[in-house]
Amino acid sequence: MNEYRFDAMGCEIVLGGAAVHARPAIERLFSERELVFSRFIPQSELNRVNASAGSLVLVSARFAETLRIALHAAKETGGLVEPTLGGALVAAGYDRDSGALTPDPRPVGPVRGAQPVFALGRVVGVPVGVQLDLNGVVKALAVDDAMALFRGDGSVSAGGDVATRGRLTVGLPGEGAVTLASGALATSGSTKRRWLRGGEVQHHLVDPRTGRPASSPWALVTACGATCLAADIAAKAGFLAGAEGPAWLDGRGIPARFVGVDGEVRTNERWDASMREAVACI
Amino acid sequence: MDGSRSRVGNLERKQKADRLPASAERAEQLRSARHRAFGAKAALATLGATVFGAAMVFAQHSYAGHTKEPATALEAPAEFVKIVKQDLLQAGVVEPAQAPPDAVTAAS
Repeated sequence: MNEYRFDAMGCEIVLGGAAVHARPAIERLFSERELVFSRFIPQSELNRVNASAGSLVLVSARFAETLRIALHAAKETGGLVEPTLGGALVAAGYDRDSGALTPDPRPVGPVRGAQPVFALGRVVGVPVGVQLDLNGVVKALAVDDAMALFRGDGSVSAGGDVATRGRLTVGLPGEGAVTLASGALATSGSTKRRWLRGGEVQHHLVDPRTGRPASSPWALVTACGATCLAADIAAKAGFLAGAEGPAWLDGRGIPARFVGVDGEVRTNERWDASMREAVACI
Repeated sequence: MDGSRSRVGNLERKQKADRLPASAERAEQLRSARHRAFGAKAALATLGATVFGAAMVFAQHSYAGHTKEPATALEAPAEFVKIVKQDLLQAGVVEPAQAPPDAVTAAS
């Protein structure tokens, strides 16, 4: 398969099929989004908004729309996938690119859980002490927008979140593979972006109820959505819902596969049904 | 000879003078007739165009093969589209693998 790879948003982006022909536009898209939404670029718009906590700020249309989607995702997931936990990540020690994180003996800082945010059109107000972190949706949105930049069959993968137009066989965490007939597959978990702070293992998926990295029975959750955004939100929600994850995603018709912290693989009913239905059609 | 020519000339002049009123009257009649003919032709053309237009409208509204309303795109009701767009969690389609992997999904 024709492929093109580049680095953006702290991960590797892989374009396949017809997406390769649109690589300049797709590279530009990821680069622009990173400049707006990165927590690690001091002059990013996200950092400007976070620095203005306590007052109203006028944001770009892109920022306003992304925040609206992130708040909507929080609502759809019952508050599991929250955009207001940037402060909790910093308190846990995730204050620079994950590749540059080193063990830090200092204890975890004080944290706050999810907080309400004011957003009306392009006017945004973040309460004092709250920091937005929109990376829960930014990367997936960039993948979906990149898919709109080319015609024909092709795929875009960003750090393992894969969206396709046309059938694509995708390797799964651990072992095995699945054919993605349409939509996207995204995997979230605590195995990659993890570090030591105060002698404890920290990771980037924060439980909004405690403001601490979530304690989940799952190491990795893979979900299949109609879009990369849907898949990514579903995977994160499945992880953060803990033992209820499989049933939670079944209730929304999302096929999902769970790798437990003990390495055991489990799939939800919707995933199993997808496999059976496909076999029955062959 | 000169007298005879003079008489003929006088006669012609007289006849010409007698004809002039008759010729003007005839020209007036012709002008009037042409005016009426032009009016009749215009009325006929207007009537024809009006009948044609009315027939077109009538045909459009009565003939089964013609659209009765302005054409609109085939799309779902706006309310339905709004609800679907608001639903972020929509499922994709996965099937058993039938080939070696082209891509890999993993935590990032």
